[in-house]
Amino acid sequence: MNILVAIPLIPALVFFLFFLLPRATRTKMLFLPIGAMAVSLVLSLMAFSTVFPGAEKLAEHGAQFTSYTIGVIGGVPLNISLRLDALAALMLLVVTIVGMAVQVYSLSYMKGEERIGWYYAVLSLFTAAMLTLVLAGDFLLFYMSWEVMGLCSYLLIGFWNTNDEARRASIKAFLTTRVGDVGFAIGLAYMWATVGSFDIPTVLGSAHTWGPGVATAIALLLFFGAMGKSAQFPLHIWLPDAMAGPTPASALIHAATMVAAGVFLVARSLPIFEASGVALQVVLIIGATTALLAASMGSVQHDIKKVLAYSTISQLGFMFMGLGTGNVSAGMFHLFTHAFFKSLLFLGAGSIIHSLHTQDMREMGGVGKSMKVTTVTFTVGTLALSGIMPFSGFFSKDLILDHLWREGHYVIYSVALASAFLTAFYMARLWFRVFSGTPRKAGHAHESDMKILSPMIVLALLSVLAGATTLVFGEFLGSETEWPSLVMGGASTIVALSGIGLGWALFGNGRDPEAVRARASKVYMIVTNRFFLDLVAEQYIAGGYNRLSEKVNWFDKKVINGIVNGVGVACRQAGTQLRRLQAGRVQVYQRLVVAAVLVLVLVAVLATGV
Amino acid sequence: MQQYAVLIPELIVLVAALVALFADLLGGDRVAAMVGAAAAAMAAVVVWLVPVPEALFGSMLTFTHGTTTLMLRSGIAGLTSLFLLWVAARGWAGVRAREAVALTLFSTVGSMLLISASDLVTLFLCLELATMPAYVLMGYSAEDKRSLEGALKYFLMSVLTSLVMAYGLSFVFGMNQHTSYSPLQVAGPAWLGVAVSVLVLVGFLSKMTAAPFHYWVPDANEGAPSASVAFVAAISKIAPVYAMVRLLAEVLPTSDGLSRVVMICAVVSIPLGIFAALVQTDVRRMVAYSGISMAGYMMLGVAAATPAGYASAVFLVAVYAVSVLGLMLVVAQEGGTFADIAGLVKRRPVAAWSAVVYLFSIIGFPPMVGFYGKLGVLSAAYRAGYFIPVLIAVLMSVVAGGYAFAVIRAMFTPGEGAPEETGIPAPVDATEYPQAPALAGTVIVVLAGLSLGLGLIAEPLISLLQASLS
Repeated sequence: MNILVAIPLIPALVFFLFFLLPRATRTKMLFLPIGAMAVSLVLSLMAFSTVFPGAEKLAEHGAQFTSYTIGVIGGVPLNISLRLDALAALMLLVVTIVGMAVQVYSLSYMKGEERIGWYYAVLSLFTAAMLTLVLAGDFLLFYMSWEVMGLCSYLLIGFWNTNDEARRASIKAFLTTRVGDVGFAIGLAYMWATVGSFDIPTVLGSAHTWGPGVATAIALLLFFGAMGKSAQFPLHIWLPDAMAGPTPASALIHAATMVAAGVFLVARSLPIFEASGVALQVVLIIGATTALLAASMGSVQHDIKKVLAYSTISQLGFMFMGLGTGNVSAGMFHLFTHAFFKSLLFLGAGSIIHSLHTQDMREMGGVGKSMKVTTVTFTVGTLALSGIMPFSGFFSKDLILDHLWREGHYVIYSVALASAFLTAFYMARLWFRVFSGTPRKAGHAHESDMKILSPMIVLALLSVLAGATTLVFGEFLGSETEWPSLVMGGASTIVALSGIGLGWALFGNGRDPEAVRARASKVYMIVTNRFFLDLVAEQYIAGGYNRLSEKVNWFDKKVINGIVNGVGVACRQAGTQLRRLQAGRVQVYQRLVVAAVLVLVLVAVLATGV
Repeated sequence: MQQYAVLIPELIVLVAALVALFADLLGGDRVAAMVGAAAAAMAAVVVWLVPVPEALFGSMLTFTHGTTTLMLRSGIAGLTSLFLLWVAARGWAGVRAREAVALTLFSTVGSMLLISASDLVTLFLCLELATMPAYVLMGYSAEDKRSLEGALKYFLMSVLTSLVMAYGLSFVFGMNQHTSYSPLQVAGPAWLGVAVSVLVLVGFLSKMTAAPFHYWVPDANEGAPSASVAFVAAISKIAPVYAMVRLLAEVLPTSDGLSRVVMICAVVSIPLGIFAALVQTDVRRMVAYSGISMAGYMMLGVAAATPAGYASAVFLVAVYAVSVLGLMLVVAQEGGTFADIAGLVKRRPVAAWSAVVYLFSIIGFPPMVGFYGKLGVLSAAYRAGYFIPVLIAVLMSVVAGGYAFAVIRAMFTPGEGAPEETGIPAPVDATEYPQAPALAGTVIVVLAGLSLGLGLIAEPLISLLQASLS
């Protein structure tokens, strides 16, 4: 028994055990999933240490793998295998660290929840699936665990199944990602037809011999699957709704790990995309579009989790932009740092929600004074996401911007810079609204307990430190990486600072133009011209911008959603029409049958030739 | 004499059918069902024990296909046994079960003989023996007008298509000058052979509920007792499809024209069945439409006209029968409408989760066995060059997820006014003996286990079938 097998197997066993146990017993045995997670974490660290650091050790120990034959199709054995390489080793760490943090955090956050045992069971199953996906040495196992993750996501979004919104959101998420999966599945079939194997090294090794047409088709089909899972435009619509699930689950699945699986898929199969060329351009364009659109939509949300959800979509767009330059480390490094700071932000948001019992930022305020630890850690996450030196987000985002510039994608570069500006703006908006000023409707906050805080502290440390690994990371993945240059870093820092500055100007010191506008009568507005300037600014700068963002939001809700939903409606319509044919009179049926016999005989005869 | 030993399994079932007719003297429905279940189980085992000759009755029955015929005969008997075991536990919703048990067993004898039929006469007789009891079963709740109406429609449509088929068979006899299976000697232009083949196939397609011969199915399913639907929609479909592919492989000439006709039916059946299934709110009607789409998938394999295609078609129908049988048995004890099964997971978690397995197998979701069935026919059709139909079929199987999820959602959401407090549903059937939920539950779990586990040995089973059909 290989150590690689044990890593996903242990959480999986916990799931099966919990599945069989009655609810009351499960609730008492929560130490099991957490213990399993800890064992997986330790084993992952051991696995990591066998391949780290650098190329020579990889050549020596790397690509350990275990293979099993699960069936024979048409005489060809169907193997599944686990394989450890640099990419897999890194992802192992991300999944187990964030997974561990979330499980500890959930102990307090989900306390008293009746179905907490089931929650932990699904979390374990999810972790097992994600670890299998990361270690998968072939696309078949990859796809299987990909689907299991989709199932877990569905179960966790709909965890509060008495809530109608959550139920709808879970179905929407499942169906939307399934749309992407159809592409993925067809891509795999095409791959099998082309190569006759699912083994990742075999497939990737032969990618350059397929010819550009085939490579483009397969790459785009795979990317379509990635778009569904990683919520890229126009398949992003499920992720904001997915926030109806428990917050820690959102942190793990819909921020740090599962949604990054699409990025991981593209990173894994990058040689196919490179063989195509066109596919890389598509990845770039989709990534850039998503990054900008989602960032602008994030700036008009009032629900703190929705802001973070749009932010996740936008950051995933960034990762795709990084991969679109054909450089694995650019995309993957951002995935790596993002996993830490975004899960940190989600856990922080959870801590605030837990304390204030609302998700509406308009009702929050002044949290900074009462929740010291949450505030400090959340601020770290905010600065990391905004891309401020020396927090990790700065380094990873800069790597992407740097590659975009160097490869000559100037338009995409400016789109990315604009998205970075918006990112800093909406995070500042969120921060000032929640932490500064005085408490509003939701009242005073109180600090959460240590089970909630300690994972956040660990993640905050990682969010700070991860940036220091820039060079090691690049070397480990086998690509040239440098520290951000002064010009590039300077440009992005200025952009980020001005985003934060705009956020401060509009929302700092407890100002809230949106709330003021709602309250202020015309007289009040004129009298208190202290606000006058702000209102002008809001009206002409932010207002116009807000309207635009709302338009984008509307377009997203009505048109994109409409098209995706429309397919389903059309299917149902077709069914209803068919039902009409079924009038129920047997004479009509018999006539139809006789007519059908005649037509079929005629077709057969004509096809044979008289 | 020893050669007749091969028919002992059929004889056991036949004797049990006659015994069941006298169930009144023996003690009622449960005894009848138990006798039937025991006999069918015994038959399923005995099939493997008796010596197998090449042919019987001057080649009217042949057993040359070795393990395949044994496997199918044993499988049909085994499924019947499981079904009757369930009947013994639950009764036949709302009606007396004893005659129904006898009819089931008669139909099973017909199905088992049909597997080895190798003469036009035995083919036709066995096919009718297998379906005649089915008409009665579908109209079994005689006080219910809908049941009678559905059964009458079924009868009229089936008889009509059987006539067309008999007409076709008469041509086969005319051309070959004898009724044994041998390649058709087409006297005259080539199209004549093709036209004859189409006429013969019509009978089978109607039994398989393929479009455009499907009109009766939803109405009949909705009116009939659910237990009858379970038998007719599942077990009674296995033998005809094997008889059909045998006829195609041994007698009827393969031609592009015939393949095209079958392919047209397939491409009509698949979307029609799946789209119509999406809007149903009654599981019995949904099963009717999903059966139509399944017939479409089966025909993809038939149209490929290769041993692999034929084998996968038979395999698909057989494994589909397992899952549909299970699903309909769940429906038979809970009621067919979505309101009836609402909150099922709370009341009967085992039944609900088993139903999830069945549904996943029906829509062909890996690793359930239905997936391997569909994979087989799709790859056979693809190899035969039918790219567009395969594409349509693949896309439609994604849509098929919709109706499965509709049922699952119904089962997993608490219904309004569902009797959650008592935990016991309102009884839908009125049997005269106390029910045995543990026994019924066992049958349902076994069927779910088969829906999952057969997938593991799908490949060897298909290649075994393939070897016998090439």
